[in-house]
Amino acid sequence: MSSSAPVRTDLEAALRELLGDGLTGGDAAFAVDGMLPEFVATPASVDELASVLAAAGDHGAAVVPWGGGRHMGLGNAPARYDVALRTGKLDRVIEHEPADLTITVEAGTTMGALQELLREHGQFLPIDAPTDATVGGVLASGVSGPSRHAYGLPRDWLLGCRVAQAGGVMVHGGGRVVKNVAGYDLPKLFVGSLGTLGVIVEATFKVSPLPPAQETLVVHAASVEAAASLVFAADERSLSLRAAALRAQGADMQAVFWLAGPPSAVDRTSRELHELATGAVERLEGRASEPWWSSLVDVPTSGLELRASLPPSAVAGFIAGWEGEVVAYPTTGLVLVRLEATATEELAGQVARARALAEASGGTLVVASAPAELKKRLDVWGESEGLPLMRRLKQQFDSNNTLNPGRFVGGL
Amino acid sequence: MIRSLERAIGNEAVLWRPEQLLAFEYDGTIERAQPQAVVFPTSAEQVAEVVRIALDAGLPVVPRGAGTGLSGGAVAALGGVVVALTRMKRILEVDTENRLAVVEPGVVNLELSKAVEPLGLYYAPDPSSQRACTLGGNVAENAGGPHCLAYGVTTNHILGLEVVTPEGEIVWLGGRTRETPGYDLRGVFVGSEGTLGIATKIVVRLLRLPEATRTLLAIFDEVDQASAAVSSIIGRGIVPSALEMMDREIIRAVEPALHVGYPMDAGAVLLIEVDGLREAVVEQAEAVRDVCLREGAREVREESEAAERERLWAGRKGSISALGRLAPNYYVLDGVVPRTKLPAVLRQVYALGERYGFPIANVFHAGDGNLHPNVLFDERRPGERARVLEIGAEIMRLCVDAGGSITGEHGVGYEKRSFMEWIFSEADMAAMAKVKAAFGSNDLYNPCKVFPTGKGCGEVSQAQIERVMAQAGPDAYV
Repeated sequence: MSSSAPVRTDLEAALRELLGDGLTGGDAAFAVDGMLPEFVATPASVDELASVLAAAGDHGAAVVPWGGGRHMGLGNAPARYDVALRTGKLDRVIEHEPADLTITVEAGTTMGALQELLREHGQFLPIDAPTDATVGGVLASGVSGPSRHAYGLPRDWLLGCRVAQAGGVMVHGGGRVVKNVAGYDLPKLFVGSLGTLGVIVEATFKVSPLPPAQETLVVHAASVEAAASLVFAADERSLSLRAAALRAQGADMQAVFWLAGPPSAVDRTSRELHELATGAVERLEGRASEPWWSSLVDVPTSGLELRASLPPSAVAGFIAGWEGEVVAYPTTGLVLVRLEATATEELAGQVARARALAEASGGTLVVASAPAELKKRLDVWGESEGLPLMRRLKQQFDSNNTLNPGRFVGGL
Repeated sequence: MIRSLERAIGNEAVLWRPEQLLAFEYDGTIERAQPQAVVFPTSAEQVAEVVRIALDAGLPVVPRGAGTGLSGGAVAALGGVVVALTRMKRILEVDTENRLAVVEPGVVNLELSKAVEPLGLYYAPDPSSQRACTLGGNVAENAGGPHCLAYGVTTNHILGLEVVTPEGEIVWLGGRTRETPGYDLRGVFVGSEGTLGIATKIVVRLLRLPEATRTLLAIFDEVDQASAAVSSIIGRGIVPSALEMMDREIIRAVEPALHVGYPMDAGAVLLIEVDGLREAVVEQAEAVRDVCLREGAREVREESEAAERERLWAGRKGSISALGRLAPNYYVLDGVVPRTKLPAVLRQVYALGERYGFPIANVFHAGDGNLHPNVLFDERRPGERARVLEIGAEIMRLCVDAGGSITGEHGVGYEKRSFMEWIFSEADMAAMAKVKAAFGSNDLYNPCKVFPTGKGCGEVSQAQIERVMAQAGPDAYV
């Protein structure tokens, strides 16, 4: 689809009328895989955002939804990119009833602001993300982190959401109560869909009480196998853990545990982990734990990052042999490999071999970010068996291919 | 058509004589409709084959598990071919290392937990019908249960599904790992009430059995005190694995029938379970006991041994069947409200009961705000059924007005499709219809379920809903 000049002018006029100062020109800060948008749209309300989508649809423009910009490395390079659609101004708290353990916020709310608000009430949302990532961005990219060991994935905490569809029609799925089976579970479809089915504008979460006690133990291990077996041994005992990670940086191998729960359970967990550990143990007490775990999550996305989802039993085998930094959450089968993206040719081959290894064990591998040049040579998502069904779904929800065209699985 | 079905899957796997079809006219509700045939496929290929034959003949397809559903989901509303999955009941694989099992849809919920118990594992979602209901049915309804408060409902425990689509294709949704690239088709399939296809293999997560469990029974004079205790427990940051409430009417039914030791003059009892590491469980049980006493509990009993804990649960598990002692009929409702609205909504429910002249017995998942009011009535009295439906609708309306939902675990099914408009806009339902279209589903595929309109279903009339009402026999569970 070519973007002829008169069409652009019309689109600009339409957006200008809707947004006024909320419309600016393309800007390198909104580049996706080296591509710049023609316009950056910053709607001040959900209604404005929906109107932008309607206008984009009318003018055949391609829209890339933009939250905090923290996970923009995920996905194929866009097939087209006319408008960056920012959700940052949609940052109101719609409803928070602490005693219900639920909260409804607009999608541009940052995870940092959300967690801060919840903490005042002794609560948190057990989804790990950089503090400047937005709620909408985290949901759309489907990322998760250390806490998935005890708390599961974002999909498990989202009770309902409102979404602006391509064309601007608003829909909601789910609800604001913790248990609800009325109608299809649409929120599940939007989590991890990279904004290709609609733009999430509001989300209701179930939240959790903050564990009363916490600490972190970093256990040094002689090998991947030793570290992994320590993690699985702890898991077999159902110890009171929020997270269990493996971390490899060159020759240094660590098994790291985030202990959380009632003080007595944390004490016993600490005792048993000290017994199980064969290497040196470092201990971080109380809230000193938190920055350590944030540092695993809040990493720049400029380099090459691979994300493998594996059966837990395949994790240790997959990790062995990688140069660079590896962080893994073995009990839930997530492995992140971060590499210096230098030798393009060689890396492309390495990615293909890693994917083959992941798939041989029943897992999958996604390129979570890569420099634009390298990404051109990579298959970002791998093969997906449900692709024909996914294609029909995309066709149903966004037949004009307005939203993030080309960036998702199978070029959707 | 019968002959094609028989050719496809064998004579003994097809029922078509009217007397054979009787048992398949209804599920846990009392709506009745006669299918033309009931088939019992034993493989995904056979399921695909029978679906194709039925649809080619222009007949509806209605998937069915154990038939314990409470929203009429397995009723052949427009006739057609009922596809019963009960002969696909093998546990195909248990992978202890990766804590998962691959099962066929006809496996009974509790049978799976029993099979993996020797390995120290269990399957967490525990609908009260778990001795009878199938995992395929659980997937279709996104079934809940008492222990879903801490561990989540069915959708939180399904990794992957092999599905026969309405067009007869066999596809995998999700897989054996926590996440797979692409749209979460497994997530939208779970809870789609048999309108998007038939699951023929299910990959479920298994959890490790907790090291220790304690069950507490707190007895209150007033239902308001019990509701306040529920809020306080959650407010204290305790998430019990189960938090169930039974009110005065339930106690009056249960105690004479089961002799579980509930005082007949109590206003409500709470059944609370905590599990985890020994130390934590002791601490939490103590905290729960404190809260209950502070909120005015007259007595708190506590058990830690399995047999004793079972005894405390017996009253809860037998509560619905005991209702028969109080009235010839009862109508089981399922609605959800925010936890903080529980006391107010319960008061309104009782007030409605008084206004209509129906006793209402409440037994429910209080920790989730998932209400199950049971309207007690006598269908032999003229006009009574219509009024029971009216009060049912009014109670659902109360839940919606309190910011809740028309169903927490029983599904919309045939029964509640006219209420969908109370919580979803036309655009919302249009989006759901898009999902249905993407899966290749149509008006013949489990017709008249979930959505308020459908070809041939007509508007949901009073008379239609009336027939759906549950008088529910001894096999009913909430």
